[in-house]
Amino acid sequence: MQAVRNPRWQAVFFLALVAIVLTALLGGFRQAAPKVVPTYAAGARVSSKALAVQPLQAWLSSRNPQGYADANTHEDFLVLEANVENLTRLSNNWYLGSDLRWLTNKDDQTGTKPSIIYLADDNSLFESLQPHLPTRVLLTWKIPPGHAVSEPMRWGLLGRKFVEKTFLTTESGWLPDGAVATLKLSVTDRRAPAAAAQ
Amino acid sequence: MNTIPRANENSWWRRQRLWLLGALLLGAWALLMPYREAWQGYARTHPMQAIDVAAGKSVAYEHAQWRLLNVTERDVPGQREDAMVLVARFELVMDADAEATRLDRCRGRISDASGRVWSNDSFGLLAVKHTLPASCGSGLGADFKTIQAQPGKPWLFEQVYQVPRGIDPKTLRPEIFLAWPEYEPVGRYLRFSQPE
Amino acid sequence: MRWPGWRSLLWVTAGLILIVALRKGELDYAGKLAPLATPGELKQRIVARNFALTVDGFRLAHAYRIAGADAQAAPRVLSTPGVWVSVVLKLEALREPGLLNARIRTRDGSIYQANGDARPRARGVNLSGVEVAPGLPATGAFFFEMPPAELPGAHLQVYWGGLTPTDMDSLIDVDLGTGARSSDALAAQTVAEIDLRP
Repeated sequence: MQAVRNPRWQAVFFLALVAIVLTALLGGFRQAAPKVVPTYAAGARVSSKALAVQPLQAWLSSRNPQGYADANTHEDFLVLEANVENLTRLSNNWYLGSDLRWLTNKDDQTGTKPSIIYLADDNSLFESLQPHLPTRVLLTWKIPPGHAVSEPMRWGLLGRKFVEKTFLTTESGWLPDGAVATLKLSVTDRRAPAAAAQ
Repeated sequence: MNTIPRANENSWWRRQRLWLLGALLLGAWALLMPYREAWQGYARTHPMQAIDVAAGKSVAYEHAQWRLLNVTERDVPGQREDAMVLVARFELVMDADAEATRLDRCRGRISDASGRVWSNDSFGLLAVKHTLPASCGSGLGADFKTIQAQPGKPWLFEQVYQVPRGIDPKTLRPEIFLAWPEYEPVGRYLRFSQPE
Repeated sequence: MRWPGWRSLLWVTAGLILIVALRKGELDYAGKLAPLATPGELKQRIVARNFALTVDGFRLAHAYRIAGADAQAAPRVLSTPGVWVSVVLKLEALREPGLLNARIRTRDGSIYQANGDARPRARGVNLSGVEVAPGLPATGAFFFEMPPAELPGAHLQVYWGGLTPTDMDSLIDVDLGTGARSSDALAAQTVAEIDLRP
């Protein structure tokens, strides 16, 4: 406790107190307002800086784009058709598979990644996006049977920011940068009538 | 005191010689040990050091006796014109404590005198009809039942390679390598010379 | 605290300047592990560490006609949002068997990875996934999808092994010779369809 009597330490404690009071007065300890993420409709082109997405239409189907139904689980497929473009300089399949997620309900904050992605031209499996080459793709999600399907459906797009040299390893890369947009589309039900009625 | 004492009776270097020697040895150790570890790790899964086997002789490797029987050329329809298919036959006798499933992980290659290598056709892409099991420890016998090498009994198997035409097949040497060895030093592999 | 002296201060400052300069001048992570490039020209046999190649040339097309999925299926037409670039070459392994991969590097540094063996599925022509062994060269083509605007100044890069070049291993860089041509000439050179069927 000798430290408290030392005038230098007293000055330090006093300055700390002043800093805390000032921060409180300026509102530093208040709860941060949640980030508002803008919502877009079909046809709008949204960019996450690494990926540009222009959702076109969405539908529900009991068959996947290659025409096969899931014989074992009888799950339905949610298909989102979109024009996507790789805005980075390296061909890859990373961002399309992980940054555009389906928000299953209103409170879903993380979303689900697509299960399989197809090329819309010929329904073949998507391999990777070439830089600056807009491609039409079909992203599919499996809907568990009995899942309450709300209309319209929402998808979330995660943003990325380019880092030239990371601090620790000096690698360069596209790091996640929070949610950037919500896409809201109405979904057509193309399932067989018997299934839809359940 | 801004100056460094100079030219003392006992210079700083002499006084610190033991510490400096220690630092030198430690530095050398710090450079050599990671290199050795990396080499060991690599040799665990890559053939690095050959055990040359004279023609017709058998050799002990991973608790089994290995012998090359012969290498013959096989005519395979639909083959590319500049290639030929060779089939090497081996005889293996496992020791009492060896396991057939372990030996199954063997990798086969064939090499020429200059060090070029060709892989064994482990995926069966060459569509060669096998008369002997294709793996070092087990295979499909008559009526598609799995048969295994038994300790003490000779086990015959064959390996298939596709090599360029124009090389004298007699100069090629079949090789066998077992990764993650249990008994041998890491990186050792067998290189068989062909019987005349 | 004792005054350490001007000479010590000078040494410390010199040391700090050296540390900062060395750190700033250091290559970044990718630069340190970059493959060793061997440059080459068209129609020339270029030798790398354990493989060699001879590039014949390249062809541009808007679509490919390929065989259907099985013997009964009708032939399919494979189109692309950009333009199809096929680079015809002969690959040789020099020491051991293995796979070779290719990519195109454009003037602005974008990387276009060669398509896999499924797009286009043309056995005997598509070199993706084809193993090469010493003395048994493979002739065929690598296929790329690119925006036509990125063609001038494109370089083909071929390397041994997986999807990305192995650290500090050999890489062959061939100038495809598109730099000299104008985009009109390249567009005129692009045929409507190439038949890849045997």
